[in-house]
Amino acid sequence: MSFENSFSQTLKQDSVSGLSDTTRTAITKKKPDSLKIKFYPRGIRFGTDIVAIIKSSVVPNYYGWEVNADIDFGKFYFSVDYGFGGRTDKLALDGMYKNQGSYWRAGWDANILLKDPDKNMLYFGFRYCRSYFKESAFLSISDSIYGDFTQSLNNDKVRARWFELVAGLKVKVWSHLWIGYTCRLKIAPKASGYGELKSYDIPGFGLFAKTFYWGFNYQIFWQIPFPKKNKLKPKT
Amino acid sequence: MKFFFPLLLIVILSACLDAPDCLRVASSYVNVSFKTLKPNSIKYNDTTIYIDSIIVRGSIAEKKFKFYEGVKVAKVSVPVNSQKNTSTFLFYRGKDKNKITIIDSLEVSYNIQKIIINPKCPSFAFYSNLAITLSTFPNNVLINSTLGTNSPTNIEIRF
Repeated sequence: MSFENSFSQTLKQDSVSGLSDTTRTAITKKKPDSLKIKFYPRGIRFGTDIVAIIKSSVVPNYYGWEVNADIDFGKFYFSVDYGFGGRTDKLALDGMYKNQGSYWRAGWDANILLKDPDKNMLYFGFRYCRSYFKESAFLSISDSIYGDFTQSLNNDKVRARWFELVAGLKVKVWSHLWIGYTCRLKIAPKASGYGELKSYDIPGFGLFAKTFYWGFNYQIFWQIPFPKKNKLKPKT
Repeated sequence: MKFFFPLLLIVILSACLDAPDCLRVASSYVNVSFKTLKPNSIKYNDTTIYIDSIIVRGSIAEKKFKFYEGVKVAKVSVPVNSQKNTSTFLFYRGKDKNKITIIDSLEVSYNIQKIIINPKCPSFAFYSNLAITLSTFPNNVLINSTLGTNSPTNIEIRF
């Protein structure tokens, strides 16, 4: 059979099957997509940070707690944290610093362990964070020219924001019980509402003087799965 | 990809250097330079004047600023009061030590911010928005409104 005959034979077969070239290409490229995960809420986890609880009982000048929640959307998790904390520091020259306030974080995590049957997570994510707090300082200032003096300064309504890059692990240990840790790289802090005393410590962030800071949480979670929709219709 | 986790760990651990140093770049001194107009030019050059003394108003017993007693200088640094938002300085000056004829006053205002860097370091004051509120010098110009160790001149006094 010559080439021309062979080619015309192929065209005939296609015309018989009734498929155009475009449709045929689309069919051959379409593969079963077992890894594509649909985006819908599957469950919610509530938890708390154990590090904050232990730190509150061990470190004398610190107290705080933090609660966490995340919603499972398949590959992505929407995560929210709320915390409260304060610290008291004795300053040089008999000074004193105190602060107290709340903070929250919200953002998304991307799980890269997609094939794990228990949905254990190795994740990366980002957070937008805000803090609302008050702080006060009693300063004792030594001045050889104008004379020594003491000063009491207060910032009653300070607001701050920062961003976080997070990475961590969450493991299912029993039934709906999960434990995990989160490492945080806190960046770009910005505060407003402070007066003569420049903000020193931001609850949830740390020292304002540092442009980036780190954080670590060891968390325990309880998962509440959302009920699955039954797509099968009852047979009549 | 194999370097990603070690690099991430280095970045995170580098933030562990927790307490900042007590280094400070803020100063509580206003740097005042004395200038004269260069002949046939629009440029001002450094000039020296004889300072008999500088009195810092509000200081302990308003004692004389001994450092500048009886010297010829082109530049002086005078301390501001961190308890108030204004400071006043009296300059007793002349052409030489036998001709102390002029008393000039210079009053400046500023904003103060108290900064705690580290509980182990004394807090310090950061002065900004420096302004000349009163001056009997013939001509003075504000050059830099922030007091700092890196700001050579805050106010130029031109003769």
